[in-house]
Amino acid sequence: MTIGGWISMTTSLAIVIGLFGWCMYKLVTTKDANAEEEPADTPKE
Amino acid sequence: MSRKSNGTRENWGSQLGVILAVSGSAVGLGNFLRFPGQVANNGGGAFMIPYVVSLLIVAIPMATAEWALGRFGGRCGFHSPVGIYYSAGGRKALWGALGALTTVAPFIIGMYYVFIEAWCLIYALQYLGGVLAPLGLRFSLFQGVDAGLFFEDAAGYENFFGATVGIAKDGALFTQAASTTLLATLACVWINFRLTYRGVSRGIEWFCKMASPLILVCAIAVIIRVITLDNPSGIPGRSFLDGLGFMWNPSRNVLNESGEVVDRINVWTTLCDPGVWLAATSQIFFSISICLGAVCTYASYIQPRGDVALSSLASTATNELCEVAFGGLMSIPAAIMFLGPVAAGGFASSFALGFVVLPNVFGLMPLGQFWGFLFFFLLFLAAITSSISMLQPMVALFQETLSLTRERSALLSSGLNMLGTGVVCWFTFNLGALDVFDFWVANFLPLVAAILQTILICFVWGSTSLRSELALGARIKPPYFVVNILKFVSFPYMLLVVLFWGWRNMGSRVQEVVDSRVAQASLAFIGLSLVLTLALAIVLSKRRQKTPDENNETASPEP
Repeated sequence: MTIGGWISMTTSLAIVIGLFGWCMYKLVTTKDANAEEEPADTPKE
Repeated sequence: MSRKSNGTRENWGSQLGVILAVSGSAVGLGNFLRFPGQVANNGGGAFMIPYVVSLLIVAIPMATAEWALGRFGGRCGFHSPVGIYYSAGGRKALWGALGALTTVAPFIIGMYYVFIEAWCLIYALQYLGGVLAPLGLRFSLFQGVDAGLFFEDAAGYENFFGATVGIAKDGALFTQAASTTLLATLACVWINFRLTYRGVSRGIEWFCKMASPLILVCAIAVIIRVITLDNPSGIPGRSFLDGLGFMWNPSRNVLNESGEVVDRINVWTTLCDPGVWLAATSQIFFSISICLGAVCTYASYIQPRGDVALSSLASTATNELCEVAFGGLMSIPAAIMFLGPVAAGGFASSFALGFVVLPNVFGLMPLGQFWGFLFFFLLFLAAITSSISMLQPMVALFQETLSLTRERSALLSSGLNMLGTGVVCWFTFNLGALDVFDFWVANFLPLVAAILQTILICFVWGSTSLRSELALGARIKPPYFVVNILKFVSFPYMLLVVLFWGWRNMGSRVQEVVDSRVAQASLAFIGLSLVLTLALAIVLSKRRQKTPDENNETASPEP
């Protein structure tokens, strides 16, 4: 594999893994306002 | 409003559930088979530049907007794309008709997707028969084929695939007393029916919560196996790094059939080719399942104050992880290592790569039956999580227009779906019907719908509504910038892509319709389905529905 190949592969992987990791971090560390207010499947009628 | 049969409104059980369900909907055969083929055929590493640009200016803004649109529709009491677009379009029937496009498209895709799902099931079970052989549980699904999938040469794998899908002539699958492929297809239809019948939370979410982590585990296991294979043939130029290089090097040599270098393609040549930009945009567009109805339908079941900003980004990121990190490291490097760059050719077709080239690779790999089973089981799970999302928009539409219970809607949808699957299973000569459905419904319709949907979101529903919807319940700083990107970048870019795509593809396809009776029959079937869905859209538009304000569920962002 050439240097260009390494650059394109590592950059692409870094972008998608970084984006995925950041989203998972935010999901774990932030609160879901809705979950505290209303449980799932609340009857509306 | 669509409701559970016990009278409560349907919702996802958790935010993780909806993220996994939408990710499961997007992660499918395209991630593991189509993406690597597209990269290898369109300039390798250089392809990733237009791909990442498309991710940033098309995929993320459009997916975010579609999530917001879906939850808005859910708060208005709608879950079908018809109802969602109708409510966002100021309750005008015209926008309900656009929803009919994005309802019928996934429904028809589901008709042939179930057929492909059955191939994955057959291959997985056939490999399992070989895996269990040492335990005395040897079995084979086909007469004359031993447990597992081992053939002397590449032609053996090609013949097996041809026989499995009945490629020799129309109706080939119906000539046998008990066709394995038809039985597997019926089993897949049943699984899809059961999951939609059980509902959003107890069916779809329940399954995706189990299947999505399992997909990740299987993919990681297969990748580790591929990485740890060190030049199994001992032939120079067939190491794992050579396989990676074939896929990721931005400049490369072009080989002829004898393996001699005949040309060299560099980065700039690739980037100046509009076809590469088109391929990258198409790949990411279809991979994320934008404008295929499933995303906005799933988003409509989010709690009224549930987050969409982070959820949409998380599901897009999960799809990209599976596509770039898993799909990019798995199939093609393995094929190059065992078969070499010439014999492993044929990456242009996902089916050839998945069902002919890779079984050939597993046939040469140590413990290949186990890895073959794991790979096709992974594809099967990914296909199921996608196909259930294709049924749900139609299930929701039947509930809203015909006032059916969820169970009856699921039964009706699955019945009609099976009818279409029967058409695909009959016209199997060169996979004629499947190919026509795939082009017109999975490629053409979503592109048209994307343009119309962007007009709806940006110019009818409006920027203010989109901003309000993104802010509601957001767990991260709302990505308001997507509004301007959608208006001033995505829209003109998509318009260019659609025009260029049409210019390149439509001529030959129209000619095919003129020449082929199968194509004409398939298009007639698509047209009939569209007319019936439009009729349902008209029924729905006749019924006045409440806005979120009137529903008194939460503050309304209604324009």
